[in-house]
Amino acid sequence: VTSDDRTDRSLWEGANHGDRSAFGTIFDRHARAVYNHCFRLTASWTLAEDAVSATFLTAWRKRADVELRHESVLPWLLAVATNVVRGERRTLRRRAALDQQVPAPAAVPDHADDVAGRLDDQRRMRAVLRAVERLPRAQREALALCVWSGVSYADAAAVLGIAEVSVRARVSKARTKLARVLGPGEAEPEHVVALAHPGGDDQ
Amino acid sequence: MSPLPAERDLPAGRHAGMRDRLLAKTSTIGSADGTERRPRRLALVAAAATAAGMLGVAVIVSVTMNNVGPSDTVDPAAPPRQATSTTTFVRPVVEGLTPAQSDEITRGCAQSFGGSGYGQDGMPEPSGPTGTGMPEAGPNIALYNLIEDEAGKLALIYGEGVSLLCTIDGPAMKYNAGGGGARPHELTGAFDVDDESGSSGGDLSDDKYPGYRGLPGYRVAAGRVSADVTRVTVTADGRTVEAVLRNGTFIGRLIYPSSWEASATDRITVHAYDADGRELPADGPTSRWP
Repeated sequence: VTSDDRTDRSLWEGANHGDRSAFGTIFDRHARAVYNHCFRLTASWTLAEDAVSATFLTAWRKRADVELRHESVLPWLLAVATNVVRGERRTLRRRAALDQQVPAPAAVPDHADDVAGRLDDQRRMRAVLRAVERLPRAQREALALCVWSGVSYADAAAVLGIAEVSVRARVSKARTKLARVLGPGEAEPEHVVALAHPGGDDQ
Repeated sequence: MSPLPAERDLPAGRHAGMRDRLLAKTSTIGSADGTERRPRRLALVAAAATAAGMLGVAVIVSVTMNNVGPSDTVDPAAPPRQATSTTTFVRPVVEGLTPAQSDEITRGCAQSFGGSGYGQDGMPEPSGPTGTGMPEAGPNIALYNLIEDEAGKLALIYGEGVSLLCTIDGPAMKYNAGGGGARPHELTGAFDVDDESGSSGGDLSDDKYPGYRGLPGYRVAAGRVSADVTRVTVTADGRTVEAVLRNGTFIGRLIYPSSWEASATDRITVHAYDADGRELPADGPTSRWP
């Protein structure tokens, strides 16, 4: 999306000094990942879109408080997105109800195949979330951050403000609890949790 | 094949549009304090915590603004909130339990939920104003409803920003909170379903948990009702049960054989009625968000 070769750290520094184009490049670079992360938390592409806007606005407001430990700002953005989805649940829920009544904006029509594909995505994701919702929130969010969005345990620990071993414990507990809740014959636990091994770590 | 949908781009044209709107807004928004500042040398960890805290404050302010005026009754229809100079939180009473027993259940379930993180040993780390481990739940987190049936005891708890449905005295865990976690909002209709979930029968449990053998499976719906509601029914698989109403909340659970396998896709239907038998409208969709 962007040809800017500067690192996130450099762009972030620029944004901190009021360089909005640098912030725009960060948006170009990470909007897709944030969008998909929010979708996995909401099972709604529309809500995910709203959450992306809210996430980057929050990031802009808080940019002066962040010093990147790592080269990528993405783990922090995903943590902010998680908080946005959690904190804005009421607003998003109302929006979801409205979305059922109001047709999607027609200014940029989607292709029918794309629309159908997105609806199918939402149906599948809702099924996954209904299984995952049996988990405590802390475990659920660790699962989404590390397993679904591929954030390393170390980065997740940094942005969540907890020890890396605690992140590992949450993911491990999530896997165990899902298997127990849904039973060994259920397909979902295996599918839901055995999706990725961030950073090549064993789990 | 992974059941997770493949990643997608923002819909055509929306990436650029969103970017333009975002940058337009940034021209009018400074930093959190409204001014442009030079970066402070704060760790990323602190920043993330600040972001979370900011949202938490917004939640509290919103709830308080939506509940202006004194209150001296137990009313989860208006979600539990932070005590202020104009509000008095009255802890709900659950028949058959002492206040201390209710508090113990609340604390155990909240710690099981693990809202504030885990310690180095992976166990829940108690913290927060009430020792619940859920500082975000506020000081008024409390037990509102409790049922006991063939599947065991099930507690319904509300706090400032959370609802918890919690199994008590299970074979492997004394408290096992699952589901819920949503930020309850004020009811505008007759009822709202805050938790809708289920569990396979114990015969399908992993061999590591033999204590679950023989335990029935279940489907459950729980939430809040307005004062007009005198009856709530929960229906699934062609069966209907009467929910237990208590302290402005309800729990309705359908029991299944121990060999029953829960499905992540089947839905539960909830209906609420007034004293005259009239069905009352839900507050929004009767299925869980989203």
